[in-house]
Amino acid sequence: MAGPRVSPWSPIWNRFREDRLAVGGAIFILLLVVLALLAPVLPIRDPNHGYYELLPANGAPLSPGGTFLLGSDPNGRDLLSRIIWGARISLFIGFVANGLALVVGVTVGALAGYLRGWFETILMRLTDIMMAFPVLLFSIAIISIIERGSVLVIVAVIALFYWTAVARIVRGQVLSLKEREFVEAGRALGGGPQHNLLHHILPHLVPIIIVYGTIGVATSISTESILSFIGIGVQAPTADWGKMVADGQDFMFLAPWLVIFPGLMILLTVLAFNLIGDGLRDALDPRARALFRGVIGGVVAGGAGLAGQRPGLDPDAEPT
Amino acid sequence: MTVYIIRRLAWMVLVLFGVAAITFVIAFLVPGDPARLYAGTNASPAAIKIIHHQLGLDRPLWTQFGDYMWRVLHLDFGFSYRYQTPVLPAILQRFPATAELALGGVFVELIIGLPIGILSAIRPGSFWDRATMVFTFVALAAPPFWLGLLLLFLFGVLLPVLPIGGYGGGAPQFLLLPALTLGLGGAAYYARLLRASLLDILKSDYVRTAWAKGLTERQVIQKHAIPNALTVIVSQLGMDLGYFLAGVVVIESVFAWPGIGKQAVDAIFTLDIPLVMGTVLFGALLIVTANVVVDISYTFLDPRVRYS
Amino acid sequence: MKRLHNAAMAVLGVGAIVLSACGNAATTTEGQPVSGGTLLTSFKDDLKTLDPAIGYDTDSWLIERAIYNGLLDYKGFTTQLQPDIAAAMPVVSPDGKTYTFKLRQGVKFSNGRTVTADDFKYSWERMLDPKTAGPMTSGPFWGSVHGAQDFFNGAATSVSGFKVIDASTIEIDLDTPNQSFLNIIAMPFGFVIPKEAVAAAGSDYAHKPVGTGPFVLDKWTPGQLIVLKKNPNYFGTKPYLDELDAQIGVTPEVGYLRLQNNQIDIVQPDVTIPSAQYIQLSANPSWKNRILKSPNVDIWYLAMNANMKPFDNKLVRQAFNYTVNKANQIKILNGRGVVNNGIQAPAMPGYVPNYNPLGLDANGQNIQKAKDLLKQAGYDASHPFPAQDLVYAKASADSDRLAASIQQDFQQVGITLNLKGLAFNAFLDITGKPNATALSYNGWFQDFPDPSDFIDPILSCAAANVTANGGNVAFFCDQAADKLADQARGDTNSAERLKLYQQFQDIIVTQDFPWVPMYSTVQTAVAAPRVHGFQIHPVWLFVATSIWVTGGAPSLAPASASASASASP
Repeated sequence: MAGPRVSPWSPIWNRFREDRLAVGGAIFILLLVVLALLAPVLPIRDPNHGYYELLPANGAPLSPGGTFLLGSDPNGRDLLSRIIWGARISLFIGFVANGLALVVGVTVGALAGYLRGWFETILMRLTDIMMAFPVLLFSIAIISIIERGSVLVIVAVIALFYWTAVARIVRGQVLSLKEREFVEAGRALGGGPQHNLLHHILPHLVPIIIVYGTIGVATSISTESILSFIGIGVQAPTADWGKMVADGQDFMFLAPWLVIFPGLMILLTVLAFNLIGDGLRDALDPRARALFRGVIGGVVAGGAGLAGQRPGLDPDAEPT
Repeated sequence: MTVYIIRRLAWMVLVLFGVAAITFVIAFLVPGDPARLYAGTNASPAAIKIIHHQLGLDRPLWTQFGDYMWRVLHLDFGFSYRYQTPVLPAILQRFPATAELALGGVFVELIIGLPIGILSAIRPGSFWDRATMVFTFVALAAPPFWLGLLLLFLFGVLLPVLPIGGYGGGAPQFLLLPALTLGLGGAAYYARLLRASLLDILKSDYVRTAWAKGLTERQVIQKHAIPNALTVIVSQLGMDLGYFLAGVVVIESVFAWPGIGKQAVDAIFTLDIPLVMGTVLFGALLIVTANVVVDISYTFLDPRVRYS
Repeated sequence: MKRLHNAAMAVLGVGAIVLSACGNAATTTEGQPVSGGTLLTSFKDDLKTLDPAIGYDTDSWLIERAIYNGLLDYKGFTTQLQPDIAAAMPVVSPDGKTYTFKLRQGVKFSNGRTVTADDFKYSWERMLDPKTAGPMTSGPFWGSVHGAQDFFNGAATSVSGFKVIDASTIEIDLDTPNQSFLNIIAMPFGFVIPKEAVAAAGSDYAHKPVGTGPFVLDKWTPGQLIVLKKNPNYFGTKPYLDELDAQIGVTPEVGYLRLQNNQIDIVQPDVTIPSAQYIQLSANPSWKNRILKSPNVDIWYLAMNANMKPFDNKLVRQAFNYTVNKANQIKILNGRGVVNNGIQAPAMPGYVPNYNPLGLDANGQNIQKAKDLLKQAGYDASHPFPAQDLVYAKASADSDRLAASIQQDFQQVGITLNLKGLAFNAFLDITGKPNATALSYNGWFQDFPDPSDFIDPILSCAAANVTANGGNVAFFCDQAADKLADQARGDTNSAERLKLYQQFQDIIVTQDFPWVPMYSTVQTAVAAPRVHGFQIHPVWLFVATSIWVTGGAPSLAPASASASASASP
């Protein structure tokens, strides 16, 4: 029967569009990414250059308005520039760490769920061990031992903990998917396990991966800001939102903008990603909301887990 | 049943062994000579040698590892470089402050999260529900250290009604802000969790049967919805407590709360590795214990789970 | 003395110089001293130890000073020595190698026992004993005591240079005369402790100190609180205060906020007022006149290791000396410092005022000359200067800012510096290791205000030869200059001595360039209105015995309506 070819994505996109908060979040992130990418060519000041000559003799930071739109820090650096450049770091670490965690987590989780056996057991024990660590503390310990401040180290450490949450969720999904009819049908038709996995199961994981991925970026950014706040994330003088809050806290009474603006950026960015993730969840399959409730519970928990030191657990997971 | 408990305990041992092993490896990777750190920056080479021997650093790796495991089993987590005292007692000394904060945080989570979650589940789509969603999103997105600083600034400096950080012997006004900051994120999470669980339960068959039988909304909620939703909350709560007790690093740092989290962060910056690793081990112990306790109590709560 | 890790953490000095009252405005000493009351203060970190043989940081020394005594102490707030447990200043032999002290009668430890000369021998030997693992066991300061080297090596079981003549007379024999030896004795390492207390406490003596001092340790809850109480049996002038409480875990930033809310009396007195709070307090009419200032005898500098490329090229080191904007460093320190182009501190004997042999501008720079020198050294667009790590200690919020400014300065001459901030321990470790660090940011604080203390431990060939924990972080050695320093050390003609030291300084600053000297700091402190008698002591920084309090005690309940000047900013 003839008819216009409709992409399978358009109903999803339509549903997403209806969620205004999610769309708002998406616009915000888009703007942020553009700003971050264009930062080197934008007509803004060098974020690391201190205009000491503009500071008074007692070194007090300049308030917003005047020469610097958002004020300066005690080194005479332009806060607005630093916030824009800080977005680069946060977004980079957010995307890369999360991406890494997804790749590893999905692979391992899918294999564990599909193959079962000793591979699954070892994996589950391994994730148990990783999850037993007080995450933040341990990340801090690792980073300070290896080397402080390297962006790649931070990425690796964040991914190191987050992949376990992903793996567990994916494994759970794969387990339940395996029992579904189409998989059995696929087996009956003679496809090998690899074929089955790739063609029948993975596609059904895509929604989870997308949602997890989005919210995972929020988690990664949140975690990175905490690490930088503690002092072992990105090092001076690089502009980083978490570090800026840490540097500004002493000056909170004298110059509250040093704390308020960077922190606000973290909040808005994390919020935006969370809203997008929520919107995607609704858009991807509103009927499968139950399917996702566990996921979102787990994802949010995972998110809150790393950031708020809580376990990335799925409340619906079977006890092992 | 007992088999299950034994299995969980065995799991606990295995996981802790893994944690200890990884901790040892990481501690071993520390650059710099621990003996030098221990002896102090101006100690003579002779003194350093003595301490090297005392710490057993001149023995082969496997021996050190075995020794380390043996000591851990006997709850000897090593010797703090900076404080020159054994690690575990130093941790236990600070632990009550963390415990107090953890309990405060959990309390806040429940006091704020539960009512909000229930209310928004009962009235989905209402203004209240939407306000709750906004609150949960913002509370989950706000960086905890930022929130804490703002609250501290607002209530400690601008309107000086609360103390500016510190412990104050555990008096409630000192606990208020840190517990609030700690619990807000969790409150948001519980609110959402509860809302989602309740919404599902309210749609389920047996609830609809109850309605058909003529029970009022309140009775349905009280007798059926909430108890079921609570089992989910309880298990999460157990985990939370475990995690909070493991040392809430950020909150303790912002509020200068003298708990094990802050102690560990300070230890990191003074390169007091035994203390850091000891805290990690201790924290893992708490988390794993909480896990096991929750799992076991779950079997009492929900017989369907018992055999798996 | 101690290598300073930040401008905020002042360390102590031992000295024989009289610091004039300039810059050391006393607090309100109006009214008569009142007995009684409790002083509330704070520390950021828990004290490491109260064992005088081990403690080598300001926090420990501050409290140690209150609970122990030694043979000598400082007169009031000067750096002149006077007898403490000693009955009088020692008799010194004409060759300067023998010191004989007579002890005061009736000085008792807080456990009731009378102090004898044996106690001093015991305390000093314990302090030098490698088994105690204290900082003095590597030989600084006490190394010239007769028999000390054998004792360090384990060849002897006691130090023959410490001679107990009788119960109240002790003699010290040195191998070579040392003009600063009395200052050394006055350091806390010379304090006396009773051996039975050490035996009773076992390895925990650090937390169970027993001394002769005006206060005794009443309670120490680790990580939370230290309480000192007045010692009723103190042999000297009794303190006014009944009690001194120190809360632990309070950062100076929070502390000064509490100070303004009348919640604390004095904030960690050994740390200078943090930047933000200093700015606030200076702008606040109720507080700005209460701020005390005292110039420190210290020097802050960049050290360049001439044994490591590219600093083996003297032109490079010279170029670096024209690059640093020292005025900006001081601006970051809120103006609490003075540019210093030499290796001696102001208020030190022999200090040359306005010393600027290189003709630097008011900022301490000459960028054009720096660029020219680099070009001469062979660096230009086609052969750029290799990026360097600037190693510094992250000890206060200022540390990052100071380092960032240096990084920016070097960008102006086309040099990239990577900032490597380390924990203080790690910093000392890596800079103290021979040839591990090419460029570092250091501070040195007086042990005593004498040029020898700013040369022997940090610029002499002997100090360059250590294998660990070196103070000479540039690992600098100039034999000819070293000879000058040796000559000066034993020279009893003080004018000649000082001249020799000035010559040494000239060699360093105009010929060898191991350092970029930058600035010396000014210590600041402020106390609550109810505190009287508080001054910044040039050595101890804080002396509890001179302080008295009036009015109601501070409480941690915020904004208590107190009669004292309300501090709302």
